[in-house]
Amino acid sequence: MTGSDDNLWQGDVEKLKGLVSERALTGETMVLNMGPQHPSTHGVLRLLLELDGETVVTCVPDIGYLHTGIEKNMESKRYEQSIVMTDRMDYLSPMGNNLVYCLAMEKLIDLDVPPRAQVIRVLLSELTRINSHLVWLGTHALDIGAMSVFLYCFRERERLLDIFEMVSGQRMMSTYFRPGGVWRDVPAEFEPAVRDFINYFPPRVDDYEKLLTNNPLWLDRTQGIGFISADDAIRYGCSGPTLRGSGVNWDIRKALPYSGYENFDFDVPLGQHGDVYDRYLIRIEEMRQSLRIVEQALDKLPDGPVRSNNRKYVPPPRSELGQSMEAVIHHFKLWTEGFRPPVGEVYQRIESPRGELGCYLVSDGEPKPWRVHFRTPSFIHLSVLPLMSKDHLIADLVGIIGSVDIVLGDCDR
Amino acid sequence: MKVKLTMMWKDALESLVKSPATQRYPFVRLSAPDQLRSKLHWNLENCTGCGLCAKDCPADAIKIIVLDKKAKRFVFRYQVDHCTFCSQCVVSCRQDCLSMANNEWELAALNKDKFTVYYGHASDVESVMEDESDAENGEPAGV
Ligand code: SF4
Ligand code: SF4
Repeated sequence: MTGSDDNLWQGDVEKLKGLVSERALTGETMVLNMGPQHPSTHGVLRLLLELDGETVVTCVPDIGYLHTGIEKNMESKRYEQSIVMTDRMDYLSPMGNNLVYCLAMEKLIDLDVPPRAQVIRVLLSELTRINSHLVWLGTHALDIGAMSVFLYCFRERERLLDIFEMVSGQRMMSTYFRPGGVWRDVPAEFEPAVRDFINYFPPRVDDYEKLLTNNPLWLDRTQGIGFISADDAIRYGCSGPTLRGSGVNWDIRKALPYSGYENFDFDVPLGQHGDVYDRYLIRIEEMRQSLRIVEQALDKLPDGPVRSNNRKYVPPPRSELGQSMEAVIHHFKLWTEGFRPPVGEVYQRIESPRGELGCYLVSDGEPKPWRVHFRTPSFIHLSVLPLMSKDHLIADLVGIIGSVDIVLGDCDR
Repeated sequence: MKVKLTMMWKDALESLVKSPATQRYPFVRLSAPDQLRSKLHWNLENCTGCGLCAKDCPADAIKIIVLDKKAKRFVFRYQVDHCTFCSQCVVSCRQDCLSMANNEWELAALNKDKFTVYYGHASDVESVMEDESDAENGEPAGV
């Protein structure tokens, strides 16, 4: 890329200054575009690479190809109308997004959530985590060259999607959690289906491990690759498995419990080396731990309502509409103008499958939020990509991208 | 290594005799769960034309066209391609006019016109469709 051949390069070399080294400008190293349409970038991510032979000298992530304007759009909708959009941010963890938005709303208006709804939320959030990790494992292994794991993972994921469809009516865009609880109670078939999954799944995780954990090829491609130290991980604001892979014990479910996570017994797996392999081990173990939580949640699922009774914020059930004038008024008021939360701002965070997912809500007292902002793990983790990939082979870059588990919908929103 | 191979052999041999995990769609259609949220249906009987459903729809997929409120001549225009299947409208309607089918999930079409559905009395729907196609063709709407 010397700029001598106009057919090859029509961009502005000036723009590259500061992004790549001086050596690239003289043509000593090569500048290569990876993506935005590249199967290993897990969505539409463009990486500007400076390569010395096959070695990555600089890696500059370029985002915005999947920008949906969801945050801005939320300002023009009433609080409850926007839940449907949160599903579409991190599309591998829709219920996690629902959860953080609902929790933020509940914090803002100080709304209670009945115990049954709390447990259902935890249960489904953990199933969502397994679902997300399955897609991650399948695609990550596929990137590195293990085809069969992909097929196994998607086979198991199908069962989870069936469960989501059963409770919410949709396989992916569930819009199931609502302020003050969940949309409706789980059906009778739910419990047997989840029990079935609890029995079915652990041997499958063992199978994945048999295929990968001690596989010499897998070890070669993942150990010592994409290293990040604990200090750097903290400095860059990493969270979730990316942070824990470097040995930092920080899980929001333990550190700042929400939705009653303090009542569940589970371990937080930690890595030692901060490489691709450790992050892999952590997510595998997290699937087992999530299943433990699911089992406990199912065992202690209390009876009772699944939505708060606070009529100021939660519409009355349909059965009340024919009987009480008051219910009709509440229904009408809530659905014509929505509720008016107090003026103020809140920040709520949860442990999403990818790390800390935060929702910052600012209310000016109107039925529509003044500002909604999501602190998404994928965005933060992209910023460590240059650090992790420096001096690695370009072939390892796909493994590194996979190991931080980004979802571009989560990154551009 | 041995364990690994046993597992893979077992899977491979089993798959030889097992019927495929997939179905021969479209000859065989799996049934969807009762709770599935698919295409929206509207029942004119109880509708008051209050417009709550249209107001609450986050995707602007609904339009209630009131031809004559007293005579209850409403046309319900539903844009399937806008709909996010959130069922907010079903919750919002106090009269229970709206419901989501649980078996109409094959919504893809080759023609965009199929994505706009009109519910209402046939004659009303016809006149509304005429008006809309006039407006689309740039004819002045009675100005
Ligand atoms: S289901 Fe949701 S998106 Fe579809 S028409 Fe009803 S309110 Fe609108
Ligand atoms: S909310 Fe119900 S009654 Fe009101 S316009 Fe819509 S369908 Fe008709």
